[in-house]
Amino acid sequence: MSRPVADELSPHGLNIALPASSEQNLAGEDWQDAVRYLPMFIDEARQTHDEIIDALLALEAGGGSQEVRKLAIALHRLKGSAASIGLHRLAELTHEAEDRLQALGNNPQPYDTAFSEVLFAFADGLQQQVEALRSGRFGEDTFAAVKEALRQASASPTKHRSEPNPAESSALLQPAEKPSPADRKGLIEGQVTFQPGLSHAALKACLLHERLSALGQVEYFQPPPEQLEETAEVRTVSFGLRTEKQVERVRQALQIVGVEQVALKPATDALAPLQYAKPAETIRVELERLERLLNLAGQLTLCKMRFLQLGERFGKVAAEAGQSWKTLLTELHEATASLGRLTDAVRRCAMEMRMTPIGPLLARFNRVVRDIRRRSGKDVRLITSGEKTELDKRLIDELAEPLIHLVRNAADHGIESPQERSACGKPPYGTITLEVCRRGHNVIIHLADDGRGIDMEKLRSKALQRGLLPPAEIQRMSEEQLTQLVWLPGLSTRDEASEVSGRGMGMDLVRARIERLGGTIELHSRTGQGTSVILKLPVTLVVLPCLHVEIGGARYALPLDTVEEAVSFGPESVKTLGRRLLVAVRGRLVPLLKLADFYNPLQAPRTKYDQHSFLAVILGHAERRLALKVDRLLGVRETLVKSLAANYRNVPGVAGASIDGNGRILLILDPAALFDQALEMSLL
Amino acid sequence: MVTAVEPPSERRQAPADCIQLVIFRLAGERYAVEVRWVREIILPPDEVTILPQSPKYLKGLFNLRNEVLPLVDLGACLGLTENPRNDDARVILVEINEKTLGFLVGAVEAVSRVQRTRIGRPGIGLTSKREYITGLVQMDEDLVILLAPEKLPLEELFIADEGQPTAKPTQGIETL
Repeated sequence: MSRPVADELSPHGLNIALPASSEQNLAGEDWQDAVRYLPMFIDEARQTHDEIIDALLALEAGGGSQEVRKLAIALHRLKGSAASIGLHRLAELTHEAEDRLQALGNNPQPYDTAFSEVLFAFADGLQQQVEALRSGRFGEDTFAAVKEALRQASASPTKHRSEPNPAESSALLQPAEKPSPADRKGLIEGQVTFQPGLSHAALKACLLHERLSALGQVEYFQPPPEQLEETAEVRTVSFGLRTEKQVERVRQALQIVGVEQVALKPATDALAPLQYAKPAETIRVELERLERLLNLAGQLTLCKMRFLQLGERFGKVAAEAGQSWKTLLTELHEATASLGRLTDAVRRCAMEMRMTPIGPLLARFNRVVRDIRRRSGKDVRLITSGEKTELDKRLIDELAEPLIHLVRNAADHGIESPQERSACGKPPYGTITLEVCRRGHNVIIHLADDGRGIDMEKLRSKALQRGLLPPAEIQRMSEEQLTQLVWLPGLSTRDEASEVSGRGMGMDLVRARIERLGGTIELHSRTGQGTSVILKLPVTLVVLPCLHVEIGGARYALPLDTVEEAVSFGPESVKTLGRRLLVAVRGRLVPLLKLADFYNPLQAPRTKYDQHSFLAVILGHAERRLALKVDRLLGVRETLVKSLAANYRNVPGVAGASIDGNGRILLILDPAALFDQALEMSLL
Repeated sequence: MVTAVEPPSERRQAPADCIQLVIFRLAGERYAVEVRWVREIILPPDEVTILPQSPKYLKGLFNLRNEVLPLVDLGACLGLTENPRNDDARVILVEINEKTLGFLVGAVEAVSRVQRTRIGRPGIGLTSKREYITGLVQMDEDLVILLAPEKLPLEELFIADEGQPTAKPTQGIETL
């Protein structure tokens, strides 16, 4: 970093937000990142705004600690996402509001009018900010009122930072002078430079605006015409014009007295890398609606099948009838075929709507790490991989927040200062790796740093201090066991909070979030060597192609990627090896598993097998194979996976549940667990 | 007075001196939960899907308007003898910790408003082990036992799996 680091450090170490001046020095690529995630942020901020208002209203109506907690969560989230896209002023303000809220939370008095007023003002400011961002007015200060209110409401001056810098109210994110609409068809962009010292330049600029308006639709015009009257001096004007007219025609219109230079660029030009679109409008669609669409698409497919069958039957009848019937039949076939194509397209489309690559989310972390680098003087490098891994949109949305938190934890608390690192014989720069990959029907996200690891002593003393466990037990615990304490609510090894990493509100929330998505989270830490976090998410929000089978009167789904074939066996083909049952599949002996073994693992498998022929599905994963006895095959279906943890918890061996066309719940079996079960049985 | 617990929502508030109770029958006894916990009362589902290796009181999963919900045999959960299923059986949908679950009960008798002063504290002997019993209400001829759903021994329903530490740290760490 070219900026001196020292002046960014407060006496409290890391607890300082970026000074406003550095926000104006953002390099282009950072800004580009921010712009890319702006739509996400806007969506999220709007929702947060609503949550804050709801909670405040509930508080006013006599709510209690639950509302305060809701508020805290909303603010915390907002703080994180604002900081991650570089809206530091907002992040800082949110942090301040959070501080106050924290104080309130410890205070038995449940409701405080003055504070609530401040938060309402904050929410208003937030809404205005969001609207400003949405319409491409970056850097507008919508928080003047809040700052004032905060200052008045606070009895003591703020701890962490000096009085707000007047410069702060200047542009938040500077280089946004030229928002350009995403759709550039027929869009001409240009810049007009007036002669220096031209009198009435503002008036001329107004004239230009008028002329442009006559030619087409002015998409943007900088400086805005309504502000021109107050603008003393205008040197250049930039604009975007949506028109059918030729570029030369536009140029002509712009040639007025006093204009020194006209630069025009038609829309067909390649997208200039440093020009930013007004954030794309996104719309949040309720998952339920998408699911309904998927369900409908599924039913459409069934309907198509019926047509096909009808066609066949009709064909048999028609074969004996005359020519006119055959013509009709051909028409029916054609209609059915096009119905089929349409149906498939609709279904694919509905499914694809939910899938997006995780890349943009990963890129967001570059920004996070960069900010920490600037602020703390640590040299942190982020290496990401697996950008192309596709995930359900909703999953990505839900992952953003916990992942940001984890990355910040790694950079903020994990990585040491260059001096400290050198002293330990490590390279002066710290490395954080973030890998995403899809393994079977799981998405694995592995986040690792080579920092100092978790401070076990501190963790131990914190646990003692809070009386989480009996002292004797804490002393007895291994490092691995101690590490697991970080998941407990309110346990953080940091005493103070910082703008980015928060105050230990994090880890338990992170875990709760991951589990709600049907995932698991593991954390390993080695003192001096670093921390690694592994998230495993069943692709719960995703539609899996599954083989549906019936076993013992109930229906199950087997993820198709592990199904190799279905084979019918005679009773004589079952071999016994020790207590294991085996069947021969293509010359190889494969363990035979009955689902009942899985449901009651303590019941040892019988050495004798049923006397009848039976059907088994051969599942394969890597080099392993197993045969699962089934009663009936019901067919392959796209199966919408629902998380069991939403209202229950994750169950080993079950990847999720799905609801079939008759409203019955079927369990989606997790083949990996079946393999483990088979292995375990062979060890009995 | 009833111990103050945070309800999942404040949407159905009775006057401050009253609480509203859903009164139901389980193995011949009358029980009640506060209305604020209750999302709705439905007929038992036609079908449940049994889960492998599940606690005894968990009947299975059922589908309510495309939601996958666990069905808990409240009697089994409280260690009572099993309800013979009859036409009066109902499922009370309760929201705990942002999760919705169904309590299978023998019958739902009424929703009534009860003055707080009429709720007696259960004896010490009764509560020490069963903290889910928060009060006793004298109604008509007999007693109604007031349950706190969030304190029911349902940990198994919500704990994390795969050996991760749970809300009860000791337990989680031992399984590591």
